[in-house]
Amino acid sequence: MKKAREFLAFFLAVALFVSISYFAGDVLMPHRVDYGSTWHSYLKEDKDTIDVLVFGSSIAYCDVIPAVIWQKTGVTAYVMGGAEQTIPITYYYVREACRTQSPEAIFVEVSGVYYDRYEEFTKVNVGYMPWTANRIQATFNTAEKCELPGLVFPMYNYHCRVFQIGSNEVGRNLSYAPDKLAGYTLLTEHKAMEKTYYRDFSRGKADYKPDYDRNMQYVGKIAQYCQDKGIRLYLYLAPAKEVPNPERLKKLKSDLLSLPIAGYVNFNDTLGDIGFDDSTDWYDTLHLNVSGAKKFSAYLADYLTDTLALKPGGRADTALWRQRADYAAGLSPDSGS
Amino acid sequence: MSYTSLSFPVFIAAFFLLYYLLPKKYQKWVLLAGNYVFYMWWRPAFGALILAGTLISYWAALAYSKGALGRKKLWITLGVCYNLGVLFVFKYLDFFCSTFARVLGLNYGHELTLLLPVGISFFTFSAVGYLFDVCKGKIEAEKNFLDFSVFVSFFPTIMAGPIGYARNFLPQLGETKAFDLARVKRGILRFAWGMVKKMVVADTIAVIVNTVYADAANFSNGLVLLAAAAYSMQIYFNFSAYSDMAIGTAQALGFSVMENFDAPYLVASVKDFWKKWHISLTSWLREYIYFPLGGSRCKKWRTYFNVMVVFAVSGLWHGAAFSFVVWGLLNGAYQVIGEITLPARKKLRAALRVRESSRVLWLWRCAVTFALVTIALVFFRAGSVAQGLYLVKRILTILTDGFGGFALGTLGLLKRQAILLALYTAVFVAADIFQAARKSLPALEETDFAYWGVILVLALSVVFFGVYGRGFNPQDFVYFKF
Repeated sequence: MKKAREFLAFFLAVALFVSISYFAGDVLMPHRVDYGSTWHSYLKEDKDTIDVLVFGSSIAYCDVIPAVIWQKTGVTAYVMGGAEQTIPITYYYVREACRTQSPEAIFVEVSGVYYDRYEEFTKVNVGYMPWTANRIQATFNTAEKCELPGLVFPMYNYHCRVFQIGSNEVGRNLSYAPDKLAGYTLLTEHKAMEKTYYRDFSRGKADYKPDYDRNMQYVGKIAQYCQDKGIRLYLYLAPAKEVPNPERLKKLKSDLLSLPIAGYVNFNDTLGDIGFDDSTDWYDTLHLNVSGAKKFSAYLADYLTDTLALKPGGRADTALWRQRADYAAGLSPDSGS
Repeated sequence: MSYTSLSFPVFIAAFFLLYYLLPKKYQKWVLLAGNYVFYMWWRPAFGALILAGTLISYWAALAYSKGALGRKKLWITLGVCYNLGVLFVFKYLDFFCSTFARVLGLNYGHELTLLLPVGISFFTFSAVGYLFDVCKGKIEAEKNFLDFSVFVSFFPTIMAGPIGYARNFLPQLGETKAFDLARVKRGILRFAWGMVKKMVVADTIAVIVNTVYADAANFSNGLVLLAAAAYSMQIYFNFSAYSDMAIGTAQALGFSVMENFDAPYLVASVKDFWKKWHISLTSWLREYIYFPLGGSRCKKWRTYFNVMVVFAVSGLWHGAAFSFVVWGLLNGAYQVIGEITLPARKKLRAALRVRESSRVLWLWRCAVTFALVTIALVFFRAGSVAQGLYLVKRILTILTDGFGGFALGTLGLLKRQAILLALYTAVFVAADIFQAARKSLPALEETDFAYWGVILVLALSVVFFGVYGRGFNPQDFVYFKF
């Protein structure tokens, strides 16, 4: 009897320790509703209502406004990107996102194939994923060693916030709502662009070494996953004023087209058709601001329906998307980021 | 590896399983292997240092007991010289060279600086103490090399003590340790208590100390004083926490290790302070330096000289720098002056009709002792004599210029953090008061839900309020540097 009580007391203490620690970790993490990795909001979407999922780095979540696409075509889209997200992490994002949605098509922005093995935002990219076996795999397969303690035990990263967090933020962290922008991040400032440059992916890092082969391996895994799930996979390069050099582009196109994908498109080849105003539509050389994103999203909407023959799934909550469309329509460079 | 590193829980879990589950005949081998894995985790090459010291001390003691080559004391001398020689080379060679170079006006670029093996001062003193004990006949030379190796390398205490005495430890190796749940629980509780003391209290206080000491010129006299007092608390909580964790771990393994602290700030004199602070070192210095010099069994002035020598050695043991020597000499001087002035102080108290047993007098004397210890510790922390003198001057300037304000918001802590620190400090101070009053605590390890509830609270305290991980700068154990 005494031994039984001892074991019960021990396991109860362990269970409470784990529950309290992980619950607190979730509450103490900074509230996140934009700049990617917005999993809390994403999981508030009704199941199986998204027709197109978009993945990639900030280039994805700053360029695509799902509400504009819906307004034009009735096709529902959602952007599940992450800051400086590496392709391996994107693979796990695709798997995670498809646990609650059954998209007709997936778009993956692939400039991440030139990224280093580890970029700066692993903690956010992986740390905000929901607690599933997929997240555990993402942690051990994509995160650098120094990030592991915080990703396995979030209080390691966020316990210091216990001294700063207010009750308002605690309340918000306990009750996320569906994202008004469906994963898009609003950028309002603009920078006039004169010409296009070849992109320096090193960003000044002395030890930069593109992990191209491994990244391509993971693009292959994404392709295989989509093929198994019957999802059309489109790999794309977003419009930008800094692009990979021709040699890289040639190899990239060749490597991507050798995979079982539905298509590859370089939107830099269609800049004229999109109709950007280089003096007002760019936030910086890689990202569009809201005016540019509206134009690109409108172009993308036509591309989805006219070129790819994508049809709306008809499962969406019309009231929610009407709200989103009205909200997006009111966004302008004066909205304030 | 240290107790607060991420690898320690993995290590101790695996070690415990092997220690208690494998057949008892392998237990000492498991302990020895664990000792070396623990120490070599930091720098594998330094395992050779421990092994060499173990071999030489073992042979020296055996050669002494057998009177090899017809010489007995030679072997003890060689063993002691080897151990102290290694300590000198790693810890003091650069200091002495730079001092001599400065005196002689020569150029010296610290070419002889070596990476200091963690815990070298501790395991060296354990080995030297053993050799002295064999020489004095307090213990037989240990014939069992395995036992002796376990003693020298014992992982719970190797990094920062308590300094082990072979005569207390070796007999405990005579029997294998069966799993005793109550004993293991007692050890875990002691360990958890120390963990909170270090990671929640000591390391948070360190934020205040580091903030002020890094830029003392820009803080008021009052805040410099506060930082000095805070350092007295930081070093106590930091070091006693390590001792708690060491003693708790040893306890869980079935070993009894000497206590190292006994509410040292709740004392009425510096002399009493040193009976309750770093007890294992003070005992070692008393037994192997003070008594052989004559102790107090000689003329007064010789006794005072002996005290000063012991504390100069203590200062130097703590670090190869003059600031540590000044700290040690100050502590010695306090005791000497205290002894010299004792009759006069008693007369004064009698004249003022203050009873010796008065509570108020005791509190006053505690406060004075704390102040004296704090002034000395300014040099301990300062890093140089000049910096120490500057800070002491700033503190004394309070008498003429006042405190100059207490802008507590500039000390590097957030408001909630400071409140929590005050609460946790109060708990540990209360525990010391309880200990000083010799009140015995209920045997929590005999309970189940109450025990695990306390462990849960301690563990969550570390998780929520501990200084670790991102956004914090966790402090090393202060005594790891020695």
